[in-house]
Amino acid sequence: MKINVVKNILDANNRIANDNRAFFDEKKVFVLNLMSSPGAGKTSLVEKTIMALRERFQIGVIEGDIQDSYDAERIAKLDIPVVQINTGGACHLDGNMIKETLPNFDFANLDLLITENVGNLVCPAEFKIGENAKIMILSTPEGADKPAKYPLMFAESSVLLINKIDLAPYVDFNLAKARHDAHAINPELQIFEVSCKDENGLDKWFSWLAQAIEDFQQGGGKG
Amino acid sequence: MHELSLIQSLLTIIEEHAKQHGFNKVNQINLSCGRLSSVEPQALDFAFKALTPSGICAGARLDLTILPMKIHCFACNQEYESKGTNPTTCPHCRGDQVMVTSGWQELQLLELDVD
Repeated sequence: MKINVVKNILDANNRIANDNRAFFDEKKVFVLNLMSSPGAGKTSLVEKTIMALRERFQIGVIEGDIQDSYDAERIAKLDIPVVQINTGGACHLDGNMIKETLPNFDFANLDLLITENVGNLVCPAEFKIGENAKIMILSTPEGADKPAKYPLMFAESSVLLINKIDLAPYVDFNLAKARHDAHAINPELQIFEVSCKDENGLDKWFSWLAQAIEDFQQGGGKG
Repeated sequence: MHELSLIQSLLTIIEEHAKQHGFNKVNQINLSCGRLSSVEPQALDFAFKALTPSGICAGARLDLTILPMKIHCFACNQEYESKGTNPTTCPHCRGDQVMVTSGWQELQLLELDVD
């Protein structure tokens, strides 16, 4: 006997992510889903973003890693509320993992929740968590061929930060190719060239984020 | 290994249908996904076998159709399917002003063959 089904396998996750989104809308909390390969500079970007915007916005952080709490300790040193999720082998965060962290935050005193996903250029792009925007980092030593090789994350993201731009001349990073291929996959992708080390270019990212949070909070909570 | 999460979700959906339709053996599962959805067929198969040592899906065949990645070329206005080589160069005119228009469909369960 044949049974016609036609159902998205990720429906269950999408439902939970939508519940999370409705909760964040009600609390007027802007949520980032930050994704990249391991070592591209996610935690450094989170640190710099906190330092730049902490006077204007109240910030919380969720750190996702397969194991260890090293990243969460780095954030806790900045006196910012942080929750570490250890996925225990899973290569991505999903809606349910985020839902389970929610009781740990005081949402009345929060404007921005930065979720640092597991370092992985593939799987995190598939699982919504209830974010307003997916942000990704590509660091120059990884090579400019990554948009063509791992297109889904570039397609799903609102912002691409090309990090370690100070290293570009030493690692033969073809910036024009990276920009071109990323825009072929996602014409609306915002691209910022930055260095978390010497802080070049970060001001444009901070302005984008501050504007996005303000637009969201003034827009009646719709992301 | 997000294939494990995908198979877990798939099994949950199949169990719901088993209750609804009253079947207790699945012979074949037809799935589809876009080329860009980053689903790896071999990893999917491995995850399926690992998670179904027994139960209604044990021994069932997974049939995955991968829908092609389609790209529009602004230079010659033709649409082409990427065969895995550099997708951002048009095979007709070698133009590089292109846009990916299809291929990110997420994994879908289409049809079950059951007893």
